[in-house]
Amino acid sequence: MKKELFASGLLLLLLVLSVANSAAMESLCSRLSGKALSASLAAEAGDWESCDGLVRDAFDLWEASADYTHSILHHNTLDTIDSDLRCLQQAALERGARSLRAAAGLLGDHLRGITETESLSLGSIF
Amino acid sequence: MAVSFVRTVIVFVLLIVSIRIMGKRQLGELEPLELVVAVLISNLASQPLQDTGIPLIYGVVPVLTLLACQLVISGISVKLPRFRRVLCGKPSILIDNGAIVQSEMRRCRISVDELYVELRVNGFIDPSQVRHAILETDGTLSVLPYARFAPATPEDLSLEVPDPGLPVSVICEGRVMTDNLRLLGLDGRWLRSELMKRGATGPEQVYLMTVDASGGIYYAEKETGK
Repeated sequence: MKKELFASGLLLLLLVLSVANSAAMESLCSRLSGKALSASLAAEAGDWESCDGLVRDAFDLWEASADYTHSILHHNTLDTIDSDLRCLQQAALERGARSLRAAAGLLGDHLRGITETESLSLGSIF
Repeated sequence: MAVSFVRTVIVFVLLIVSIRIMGKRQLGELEPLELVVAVLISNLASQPLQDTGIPLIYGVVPVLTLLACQLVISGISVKLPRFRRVLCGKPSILIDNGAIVQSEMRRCRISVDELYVELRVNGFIDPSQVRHAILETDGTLSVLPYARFAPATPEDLSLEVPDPGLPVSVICEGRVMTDNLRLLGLDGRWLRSELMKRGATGPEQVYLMTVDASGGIYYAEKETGK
């Protein structure tokens, strides 16, 4: 009976951790894409100082969660996000509002892809 | 991770249902539940090992999910016999009182040739010698012959045969198993005298020496120069 209780507890724990992981990943992705979008809006308004700060914040946020993302996400997905963030940084350095908007859009798309893959839905399961 | 968890549960249930539908002849000494877990675990565990780009968690979560599912389901099946019958099926009688039950043979998709092979494996050449042949839930065939065709036992012959009990090794590859010696109520002095009787000067010359409850000794000397 102890074994069955342990197994039921393990199943419950896995389910809770899985749901918590989905929520954490969604939160991380939405914060990252929010910063990229804000940076793009700041660039379009000509506020490059805020734009630079927001791009740096996005980088810091991504790097701060490196342990978590490396243990949850496929490594080619991590490389894609790294590359998107570099494009965003490049656009900010070159003061190109349009290219920054494009880079932010691409990053947002990739982050949405991660969220959709990690969230529990019929589409992601099947 | 959540997707991985739910997918594992879905595939697990799907495989159990599929294997149950396939029937007992596909199993080969494993219950459906055990077969599913064995098939899935080996594949799941190998993926993150082969591809370092896949986080280990993608192997760990499904394996833990399978383990927990297996424990829960086997626990339930012990408590609820009806659930076990649904999960593992019930034994099928293929030969009843020497007669082949053709409807059951068809249902289990067992051919006469296959039945004969199993009977021969069990030491019988004719179904008429067999009172019952039962296809167990793990796919093995239990053959119960008529009493007149069953091998005679010492009891049938009213013979007194001493039961030697479980042999315990006292020397294994040159090493003395002191715990086993103590378990048998023996000591080093007894061991030395037994070795001397067999011409050995020490345990390092012995490959295996076992003693059973009736004092019977099996002795194998170590081969030298090989």
